[in-house]
Amino acid sequence: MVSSGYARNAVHGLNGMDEGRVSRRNALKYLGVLTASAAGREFLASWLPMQLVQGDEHGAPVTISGTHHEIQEPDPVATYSPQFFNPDEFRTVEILAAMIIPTDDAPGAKEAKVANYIDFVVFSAAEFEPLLQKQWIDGLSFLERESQKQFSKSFRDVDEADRIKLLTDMSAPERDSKAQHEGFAFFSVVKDMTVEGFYTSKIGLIDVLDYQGMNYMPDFPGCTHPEHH
Amino acid sequence: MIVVGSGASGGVTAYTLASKGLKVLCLEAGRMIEPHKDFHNHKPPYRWPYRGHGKPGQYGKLPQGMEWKINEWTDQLFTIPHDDPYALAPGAKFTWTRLRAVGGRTLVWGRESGRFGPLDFKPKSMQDGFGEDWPITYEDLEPYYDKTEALIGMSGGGEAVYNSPASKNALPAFNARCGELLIKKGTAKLGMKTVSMPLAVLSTTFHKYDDVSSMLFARLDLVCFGIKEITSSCQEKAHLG
Repeated sequence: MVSSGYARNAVHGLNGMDEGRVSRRNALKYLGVLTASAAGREFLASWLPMQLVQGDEHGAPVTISGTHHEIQEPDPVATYSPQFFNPDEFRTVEILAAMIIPTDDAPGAKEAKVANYIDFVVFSAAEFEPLLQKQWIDGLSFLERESQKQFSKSFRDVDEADRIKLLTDMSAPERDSKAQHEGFAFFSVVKDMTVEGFYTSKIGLIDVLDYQGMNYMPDFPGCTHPEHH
Repeated sequence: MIVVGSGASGGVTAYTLASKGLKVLCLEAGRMIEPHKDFHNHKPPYRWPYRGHGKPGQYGKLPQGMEWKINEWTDQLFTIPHDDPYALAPGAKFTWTRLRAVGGRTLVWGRESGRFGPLDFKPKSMQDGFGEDWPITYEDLEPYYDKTEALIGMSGGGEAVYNSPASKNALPAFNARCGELLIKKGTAKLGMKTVSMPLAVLSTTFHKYDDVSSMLFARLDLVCFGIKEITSSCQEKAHLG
């Protein structure tokens, strides 16, 4: 699991940059016309994706906040209550997501609340893609039946080693093109949606992957590795 | 003259006719857009209710290979193909996506602007005998390529390679990224040339922006191009100005 970016990002700001601080020389080189006036700064503020701190015409630091691009809204995932899965089903979804992307030295599906994302998407599928709902309900039923059959317990009560065995069996076709398993289609949906839900979350994309896109730079340096040139 | 549509065809037509002194009415079904309100390229996926994908099935079956185009970042601009009464003639097998706003699909254009080369116009007689030859040649279009590039500004692409004519008066290419340098090294070992793609993206101040108000937009070009995620809508801001 990718975890290299996490600790490093703790030092830097939101997107792995140094809180958007632009060197004064570069800022004035490219933005001097705009930052020199209040109207110019207002114009910039409506356009830039994140906060900038730079010098005004007297050299004093000026903070320019981005507008709707800037990330200040409350995180919808944090305050979510399941709308589709019942409590038992939801607990199973949480367990499955944490098995696909566990928490180790970096946050995992649990911290990123991937189960909330899955519940929301499956709930929202009613209008145009109700088949997705059926896939999940049938899949969770299948998982319960397998768990009872092999361990005489609900999937939620089976211990970790046995859960891993169940999922390893279900996912065999991933590793062996000749293998077949009745639960593989469901396993694929669980894995795909977990991976999607994790790596599009703020924790997955920014904290864990240290994604550098959507950042502002006054210059485009290209490759800065001498060994590549 | 009435020009219907303000996209790549209509926009250029209206501009050219008006530049010649004709009175032009350009009719556009879509609304005027304001880039800082209507473009969302900088919004990360977790700011969208469905992480950018829309509700499952929301956009219907999109044309093959075009599924990536319509998403929460862009669905306010695109029409949904199966709902768009003007997308296709009844029974047509060809499918595409359409954008309903001033500027049309130029708003989401990726700006790769390599010129067609001589062979592209004559597939039957000059390539493999399949297809049909165009009734025009590269040489017929060349002066218009020159004019268009001079108008909008092009960076990179200054070196001609097989069937890819060079851009004229190209601005410097952007600094290569690591992957591009690795490819360049690898292809050199194979005796192949790697050149920069001609991009309708300004890498430096462009000559036509020499008054203050225009310079604001030229500066925005530089701001936008500095953003690592080079976004087509960001580039468009400068050209709408």
